Amino acid sequence: MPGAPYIFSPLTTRRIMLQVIIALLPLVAVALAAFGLRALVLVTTAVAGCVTFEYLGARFLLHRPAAASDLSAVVTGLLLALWLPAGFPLWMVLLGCFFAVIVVKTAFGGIGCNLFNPALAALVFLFLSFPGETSACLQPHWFDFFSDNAQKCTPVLEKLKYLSWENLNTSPESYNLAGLPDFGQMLKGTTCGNLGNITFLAVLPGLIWLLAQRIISWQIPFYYLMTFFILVLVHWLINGTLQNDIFIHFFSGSLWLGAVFMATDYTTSPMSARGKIIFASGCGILTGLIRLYGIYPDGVPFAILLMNAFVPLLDKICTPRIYGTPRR
Amino acid sequence: MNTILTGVLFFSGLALTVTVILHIAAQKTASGQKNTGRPAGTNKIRLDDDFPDYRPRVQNKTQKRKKSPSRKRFSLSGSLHFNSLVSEIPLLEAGLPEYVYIPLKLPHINALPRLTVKKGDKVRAGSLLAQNKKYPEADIYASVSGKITGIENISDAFGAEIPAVIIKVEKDDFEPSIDLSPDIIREIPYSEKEIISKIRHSGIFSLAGAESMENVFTGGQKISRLIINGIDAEPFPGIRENLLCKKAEQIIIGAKILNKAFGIQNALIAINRKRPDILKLVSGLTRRYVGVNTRSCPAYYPSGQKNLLITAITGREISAGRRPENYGFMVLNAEVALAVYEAVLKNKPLCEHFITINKNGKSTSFCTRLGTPVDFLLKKLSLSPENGKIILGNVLTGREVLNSKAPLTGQDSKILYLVPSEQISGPCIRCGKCLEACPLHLQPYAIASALQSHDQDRLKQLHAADCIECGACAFVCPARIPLLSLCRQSKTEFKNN
Repeated sequence: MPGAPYIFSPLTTRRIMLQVIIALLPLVAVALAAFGLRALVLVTTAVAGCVTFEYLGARFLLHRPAAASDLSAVVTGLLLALWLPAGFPLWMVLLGCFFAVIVVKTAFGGIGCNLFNPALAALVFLFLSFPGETSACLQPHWFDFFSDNAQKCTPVLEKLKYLSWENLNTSPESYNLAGLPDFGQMLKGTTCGNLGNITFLAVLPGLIWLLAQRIISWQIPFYYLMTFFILVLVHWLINGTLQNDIFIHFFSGSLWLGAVFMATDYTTSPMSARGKIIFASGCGILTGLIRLYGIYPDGVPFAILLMNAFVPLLDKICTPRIYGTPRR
Repeated sequence: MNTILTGVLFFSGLALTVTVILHIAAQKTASGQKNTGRPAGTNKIRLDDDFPDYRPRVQNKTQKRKKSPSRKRFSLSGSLHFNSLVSEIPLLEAGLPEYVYIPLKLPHINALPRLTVKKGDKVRAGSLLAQNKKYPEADIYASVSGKITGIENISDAFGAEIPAVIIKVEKDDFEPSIDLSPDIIREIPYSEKEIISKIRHSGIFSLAGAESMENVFTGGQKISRLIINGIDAEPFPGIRENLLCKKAEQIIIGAKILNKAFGIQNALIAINRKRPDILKLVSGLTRRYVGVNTRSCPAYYPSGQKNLLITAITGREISAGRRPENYGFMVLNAEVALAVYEAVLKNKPLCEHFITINKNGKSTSFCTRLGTPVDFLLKKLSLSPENGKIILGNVLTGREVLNSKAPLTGQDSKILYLVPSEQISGPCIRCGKCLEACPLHLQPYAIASALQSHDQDRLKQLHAADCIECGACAFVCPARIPLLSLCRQSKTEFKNN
């Protein structure tokens, strides 16, 4: 490598991925504690699958075997597993890994060249191909590692979609009537959900870690959550029913997981601060619109994927003013 | 439970919304004032491109009011902050080498001098070696006393051939006209013309940054503000802060002399904000000198760069392709101010300069004669060029020395000895760290990709030619893409087209 500089910041691609993995560990721990062996099998399969496909892709498609050593496949595998329900068929997981790593990432030229977030694209692929399996969530059976009588259940947001009780107000009786959890249950993680979204609390350590290590910038999570919150709030203020209940929308589903880990993916988010703000606000608005008016219960994957498509444009138009050029 | 929580969320949401609305409203009123509160056409004055030369602004009330809207300032944050910015380093006398090699042409000065000595002549430190009667800026002085053993082409640190005078050192003495006493002379008994002539006849134009004075003295460019750069905001400390500690008064007097030469009264000494000790020392001394003041400036890399220093102090930006002198600013390094003091009040032409050698993060500064070979200083620290790399210049931008016998010139101020770590560059992961690091808000990643596709229009659009080559982007790049060399290449690509 030619010339200067001769010293470098300690942050390398590999190290960034390692930090993201560390930030994901609390989520994995919660998933293991809540779903036991099923979660372990799912996570290992997804990670192993992604790493294998990454190596094969780098070796035989990109002819750059070193490209597989940057740990990004581990992150993809972990994220994919966290968005799937426990007990998801393993061959489908492997199919998802193939789609994420080979079709979405390697086919576009490897890390840094993909237009869409690999894990999210694979998730949506699985979601559209196997709608039954992807929404077949299990009730968490905390600290019962080998539990074999896990009950099937319906995720909170899906329940909201099925409700047509427009005239219900947000009183505790209505919650019980609709079978919805209250805030305490959501914190404790006894609600129905995927590996990664049974409690939003598990995301917080990762968020703090990534912000403290300066891996992600605060703009994307903040503006994502804020625009979403404001949108639902306005909706609720105009017509307050159980279906647009702010607190259920804000703390359930994969909103936090998406805002912290998916929308902040380097390759598929804008680089400039202003671009990030527009991107995150778009994600928040789209998530809100899909949840309130669309047919999908959890709009996060679709919202982020849609905004991913705008990233090249945002990178082009949202550039800061260059020093010494006229003020705009 | 839920009712309370929903209430809390509701109010916090309401507060957020109100904040956002207020923020937008505040922005709108501010921009409205910007458009309506000024007389028509004054907007143009703020555009640097429509402002060919510095003219003092018309001092009326409306103009004064809009002069510094702090919100409009260029954001200087986001650049690199190094912990090692604050440290004391020893300053030693390097002593005399066996031979010195004095190049016969000064960089950045176009005029060529004519030799006044020949092989075999005896010279004394401070005497003329080559002279240009019309442009004394180009004059070359001997930095040691001894015998000229040859006038021939030697190879410089990077392997290029340059003509040089080789002097064998014999004695440690100076021209008799030079005042060698350590006393500080505080009176300036010369007129403006005499000062200018003394500075021009002192050889200090070989120091880095001093060449900007040339146009002012010969072309009659008007200077309205003098800034003495005392900031070493680089990963490994340099000499300026050290000099400010040890020779503060001489530097202040040098600034005062320069004030007189430019006919102004407002020299500013820029001091690292992280060094309150220096600020206290220097501002205590400046109280005795009218027309010299101190200013503490943010120390991030590369805040020691001329244009950025001006922006940090005055808020003005220097457009690409223009020099600070076009705007009436003169930025000179602290070592130049010291050399001016010695040239004017001690009659001493530039013989010595300061070199900081850094090894494994530990720095030592030397006061050495001009033309000292690199390896003489390396031997002083018992470093051998075989084991590691010798780098001339800043650790982020410097170049590797190919010929360690080459002489050091006034342009050099840092030598770095290191064993480079092997870095493997990977593909860009579009993390945007180079955007955050660039002090000019350029997009290094986009410049690199435009260069690889040889897209001239895109390079122009990205202002690739504005790059100041500070190396911050390459330092932070997690994929270890050689962004600095790519940005340099894109600049040469511009020149070729």
